[in-house]
Amino acid sequence: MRQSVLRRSVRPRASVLVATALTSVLLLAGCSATTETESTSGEASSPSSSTAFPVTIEGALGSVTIEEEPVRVATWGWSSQDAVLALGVVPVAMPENVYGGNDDGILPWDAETIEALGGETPQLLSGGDTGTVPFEEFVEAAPDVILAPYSGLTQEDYDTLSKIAPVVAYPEEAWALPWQDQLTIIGQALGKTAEAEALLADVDTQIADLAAANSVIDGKTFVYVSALEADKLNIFRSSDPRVDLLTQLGMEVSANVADLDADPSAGSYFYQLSYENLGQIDADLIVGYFDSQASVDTFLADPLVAAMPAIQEGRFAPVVGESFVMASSAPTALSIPWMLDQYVPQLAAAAEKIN
Amino acid sequence: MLAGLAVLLLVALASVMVGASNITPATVLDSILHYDSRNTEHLVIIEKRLPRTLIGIVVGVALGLAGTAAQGLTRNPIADPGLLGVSFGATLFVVLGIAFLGATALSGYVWFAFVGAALASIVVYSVASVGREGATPMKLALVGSAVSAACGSLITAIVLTDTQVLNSVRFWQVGAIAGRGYDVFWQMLPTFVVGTLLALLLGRQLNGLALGDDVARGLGQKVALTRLLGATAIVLLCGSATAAAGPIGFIGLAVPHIVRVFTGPDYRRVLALSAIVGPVMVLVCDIIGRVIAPPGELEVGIVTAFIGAPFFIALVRRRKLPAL
Repeated sequence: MRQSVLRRSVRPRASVLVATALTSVLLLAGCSATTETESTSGEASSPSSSTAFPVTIEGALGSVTIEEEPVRVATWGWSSQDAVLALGVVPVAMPENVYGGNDDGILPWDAETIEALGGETPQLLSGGDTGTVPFEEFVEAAPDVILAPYSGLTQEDYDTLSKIAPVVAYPEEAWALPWQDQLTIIGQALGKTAEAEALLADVDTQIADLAAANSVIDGKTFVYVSALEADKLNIFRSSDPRVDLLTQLGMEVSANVADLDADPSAGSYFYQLSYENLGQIDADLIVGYFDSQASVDTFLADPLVAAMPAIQEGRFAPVVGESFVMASSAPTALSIPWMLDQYVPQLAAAAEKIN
Repeated sequence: MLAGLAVLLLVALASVMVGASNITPATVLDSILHYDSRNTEHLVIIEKRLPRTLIGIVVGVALGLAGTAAQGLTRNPIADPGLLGVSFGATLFVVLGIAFLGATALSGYVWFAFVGAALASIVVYSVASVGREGATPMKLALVGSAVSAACGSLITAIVLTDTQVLNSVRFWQVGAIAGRGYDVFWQMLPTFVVGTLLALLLGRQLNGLALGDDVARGLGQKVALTRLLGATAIVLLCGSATAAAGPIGFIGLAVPHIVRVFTGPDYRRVLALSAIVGPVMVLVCDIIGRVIAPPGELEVGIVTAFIGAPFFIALVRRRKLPAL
């Protein structure tokens, strides 16, 4: 009898202990979270106009109002971190760039700029490659604003992220935003419209200078491709930033590209062409991205590719190497200067072979 | 049987004639008789469509025979050639090859797939043979599922952590006969021939097995030997098919059932006709894949799934399936 009384009195005491332990753990976690957000700051931000805020930015997924100048900036999707860094702000969180990035998963031109600005390495968000938004990592980063104008956010993702911080998403379509517009929107969101305009003008001048120095490419038609699957060619539509950059250099998209497009109203930025129809491609230059020289060799080894007149005459200017590919596929105010110096002469050399 | 061969010939012809670009039959004939390597249409026929058709035929025969052998060996109507873990084993080794040994070209994948198929089936067969009764159908099926599941999770583990591998393997994994040249065809031919001969010669033994192990032994058959030879045939056939084209599902499962409607349960006839219906199915699905999404194409692995499934369901519902 005495034993059962003892046991009965021990059990409630054990559960009280557990409850107390749990509560204290939760309290401690809550306290540490708030102290973390207060202690980390550390971005160098240049003075901006106080009349810039509050600013309302319209987007395809909803319009967002940013009340005051954001201090902690998070980015999602491609290349937004480049624009943020170019405007002198180090983001607190940005997507990890495994493709084209250095060992830490940061793109080379981003790493250089972060070092130059003397900022802390941002938290790297996972899921950039698959498009799965890591909501918990965003909560951990505790941003004041989330910039994702060049991304594929769904309405659901947008709504959920909006609960964490105001989200600036794409204005019209997912994954279809010229880098200049991206810089302008991000400049607006950060209250640095004037700086953004100045930067745009600067990069535009750089591009124009390069185009003038290599005037042989002016007016030449091109088709931008990639070859990932057997016997299929991906052709990029005019709305893609890669294509856009080349047209800014003075080249023109071959009319052929629109002709071969079976479904121009489809929302994607590329369409597929079977190798059997390669003979229908008609352009002065064939431009494409390949992650290594081995991929280029495999591409050129295919008999149908080798039979294309453009390939036979050497009118082929591949972008080779992951960082290079990333720089040209997601051109920004930072990556363009980084890669154009090398790439434009290559384009010119291929264009010389046009007769 | 003869009708089947005629159909196969017609379908093979169609496979060479039909494609994402429109090439007239006259040009096709011309490309075979007066091949001009500077003519792109001739190139398309000889370098693309012809190897594709040949590989499609060989893969179809392999999968059809392997499926029939798998169902005969295990007396299980839903057995398919991947039973012995072959498909998953092959995929796992291709993934390992890309991730750790830097395999890039398609023809490089072939050897990894072969090795993976062989190793997986050796593991399955050895584990299933443990115990007094040897590799009974039940044990084979169970161990095969377990090994396939294990390979599957290893594949996912590697592919999810390394996006480069995912990029390379996701297209291979769908199962396609496009983009494979003659080199892949010659690479798979030796094992394919041995496997085919082995499978075709096992018809009588499979008939005996279908009556049950005890009856078969009573009739004087060596059950363990039959199982070993049958498993070897399945591995050789399914291994070569997966090595060449990636894992193509459904053919091995459906073809024996379709064939049984015409031949009844005699395995000698089922095997023979499976070797014809298999390639017909693969080529038909491939042709559909070529024309259904212009100017691009759909892989045959995708088409077999969404065409085969309703067709099979309709077949099952309409007729009483002859017993195994």
